[in-house]
Amino acid sequence: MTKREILHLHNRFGFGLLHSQVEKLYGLSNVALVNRLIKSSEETSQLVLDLSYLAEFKGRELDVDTKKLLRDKLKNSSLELNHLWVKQMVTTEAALRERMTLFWHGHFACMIRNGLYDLKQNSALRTHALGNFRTLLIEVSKSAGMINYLNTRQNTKQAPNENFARELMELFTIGRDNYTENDIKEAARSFTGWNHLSDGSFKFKSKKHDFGVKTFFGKTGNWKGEDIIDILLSDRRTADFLASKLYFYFVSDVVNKSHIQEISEQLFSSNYDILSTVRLIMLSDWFYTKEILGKKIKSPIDLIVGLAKQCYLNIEEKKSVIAIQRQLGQELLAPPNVAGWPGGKRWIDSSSLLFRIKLASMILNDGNIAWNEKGDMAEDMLMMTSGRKTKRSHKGFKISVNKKALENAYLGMEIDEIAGHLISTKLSSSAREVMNKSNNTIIGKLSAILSLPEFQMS
Amino acid sequence: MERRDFLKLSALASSSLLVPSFLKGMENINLKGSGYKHLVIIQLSGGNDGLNTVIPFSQSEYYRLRPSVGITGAKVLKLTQDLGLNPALKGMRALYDNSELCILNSVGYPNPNRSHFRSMDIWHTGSNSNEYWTSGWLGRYMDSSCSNTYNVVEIDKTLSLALKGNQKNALAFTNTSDFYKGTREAYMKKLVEKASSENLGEDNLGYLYKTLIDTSSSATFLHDKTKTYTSKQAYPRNKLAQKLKTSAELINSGVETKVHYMSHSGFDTHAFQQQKQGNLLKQYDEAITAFVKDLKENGTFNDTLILTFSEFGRRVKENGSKGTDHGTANNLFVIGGNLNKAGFYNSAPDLLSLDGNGDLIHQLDFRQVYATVIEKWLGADSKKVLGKDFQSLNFL
Repeated sequence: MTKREILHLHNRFGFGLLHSQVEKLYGLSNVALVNRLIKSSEETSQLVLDLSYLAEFKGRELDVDTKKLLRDKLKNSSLELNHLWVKQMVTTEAALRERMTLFWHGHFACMIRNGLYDLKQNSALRTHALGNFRTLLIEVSKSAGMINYLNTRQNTKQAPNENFARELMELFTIGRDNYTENDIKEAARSFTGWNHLSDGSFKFKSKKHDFGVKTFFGKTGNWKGEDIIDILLSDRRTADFLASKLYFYFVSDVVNKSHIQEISEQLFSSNYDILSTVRLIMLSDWFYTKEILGKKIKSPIDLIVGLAKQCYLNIEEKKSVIAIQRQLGQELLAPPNVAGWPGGKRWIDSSSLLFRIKLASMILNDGNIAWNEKGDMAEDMLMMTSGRKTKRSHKGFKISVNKKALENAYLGMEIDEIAGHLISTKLSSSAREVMNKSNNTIIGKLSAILSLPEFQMS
Repeated sequence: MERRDFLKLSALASSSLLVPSFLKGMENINLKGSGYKHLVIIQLSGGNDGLNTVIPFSQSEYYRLRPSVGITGAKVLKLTQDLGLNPALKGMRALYDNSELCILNSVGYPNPNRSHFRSMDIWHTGSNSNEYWTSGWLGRYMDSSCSNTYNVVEIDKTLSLALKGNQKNALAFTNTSDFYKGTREAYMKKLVEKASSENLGEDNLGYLYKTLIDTSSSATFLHDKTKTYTSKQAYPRNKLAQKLKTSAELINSGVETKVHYMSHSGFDTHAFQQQKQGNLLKQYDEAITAFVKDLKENGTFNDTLILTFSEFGRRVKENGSKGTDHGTANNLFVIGGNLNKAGFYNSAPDLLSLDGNGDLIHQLDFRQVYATVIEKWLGADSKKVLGKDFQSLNFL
């Protein structure tokens, strides 16, 4: 594999490689590299969030103010989890699992703002990220986060709520226009009684469940939630839908029906085994063609994690890490709605593009990044300390750089060589001309490279 | 004239190659009317409490449910026998007296969602509450009826979903001078100047370069058009007033910015509401007063329509912290010089008939308001923008 192909594989299915890592992997075959990626993700390293304060609230009657205090603490924990997650993306060795966890977070998009429920859901995504899709789907559907977000707990025999049933079909499995309104009603009845306890564990409340006969997709029985999921998975259109989502996310914005069919076939014939399906993509010839290499627009998370890693940024400050995500339009644990981030060209508008282009040089040159929060709501304050809101700074934020590590990493490298490592696409002669006018320090070279629109591509 | 200037600038900035690709996809543009009217939209973020904005002081239920949050009758700026304004809204009362304000009561949508994010999403996209759309209503208006990027602008650092279309996106900036400076930094300038056909392909990278060049041309164009104009009007120092000042500069300079979007934040008043909301409404009132005066002095008020909304109203019954929780339907202000119907558009919400949650039931769908301004003010096809027909209202 060429160095560019090695980087491509690790950019799309991981979070990139340092220059020194590429050198080490150079010479390995496609199969060897893929096996190495898979092997390094065998273990699941869970995020570790300190929720010990929950003990103080346990088993006692809470008054209004105490409830609010607890809610605020849990919201703050959710922001902390975001920060921990970004840090893990930057440092992890298990890059494939980390990437898949992020993919599934976009697929099962929930905004909960509750650190406990966020953590539990993230753990389910992480544990089953490369496992079986049926298990993943059931675990996520039973997570307190999903049960809250899509009103499953309000879904009872007496008063069915269709929110979860509808999104299960439209967004998680078979895709829109493949079911009837009656299928939604019958599915909703089958999920009645799904609830959770205050510690976030699943609880089936049989008194709330409708044990009657339901007809779903033309099949009649005393269906429960799991049965509905099995009927959906037995329909090939579910595999097609997931395959096109995988293709869009990992491969290209431009639909290629035969490649998507290949992915769908693998998914369906393996009973929805995720690992063998992504393996197929990583090993296909078409994944390494010039129509695919460097043709996707980086997501904000890709951009942030990539910069932090390649430029040795100090991302210990939670506030800055979250502020950048908001400014760029992708905040982990806070997707715009249950459909997730639309991605592709939708990341880009005039203001987000200018910010993207200037971001690296602002950081590298110790600039202050102006920031004020839009739509600020008491519910969603960025800065909270021990549950109490502090006054937000409107002055902006700074991110520092470990300059020593940075100098070492790119020591003695010419600008073309650094660009070859950091830019995923071919540089046009004009881009090269603009870039080459930079000053000759490491910071100067990096600023020039990272400010090119080409750096926005993956 | 303007359009030609703009194309000339684009051409200069980008080697004339760019122009044909911009003109592509414009066949569907519907230039019906092609009027020169401005729509200014102000979003009150956080869920403004409508019942303490327009106060139903004649309903004893209001005071029964809001013993500490309710505003006493003596303080209310009474407009009719039933309804009056928050004491902070003195300028609004003057507009009301001049027949330049129309208040729409109980605007909302079926199966309301009480989450800020979801409800704002619904207002921005114009979807039903069980649909998830990725484009905004003003973005789709751009797709269908605008030929220049600067026709729709948000006065802010980032662009809201409302202004993102399927093919086009609006511009976002806090003022034209900073916007211009931001695109004229040496490196950015070089990237734009050196860009050639090699950079402007049909793939994603080409899209980035085109967006960059278009942004740069638009910033230059807006800067050139507004730099000679200085407002004589004194504006308050609050943020909304500064945004409206930028807006007035664009309007009074004769730029064809058809839609201006901005937000005023902090309305999530779960605790100690009276003072917090009072301050925010006072800022709003003073900002609008200065803005209207500025437009009137420049003879542009009659070409401008100002719409103010919030993602939801708040619960009728107060909570235990001298505040209110998230609710549903809300009132909406329309300000303009040529209203077909001024004053109250419809009757006050009936506090004795609430939904199961103790919230107001909507009388008007917000998309009827959208359809009305799209058809009657912007002169575009509302069905194309909103996806289906909504019966328009007659405040215009």
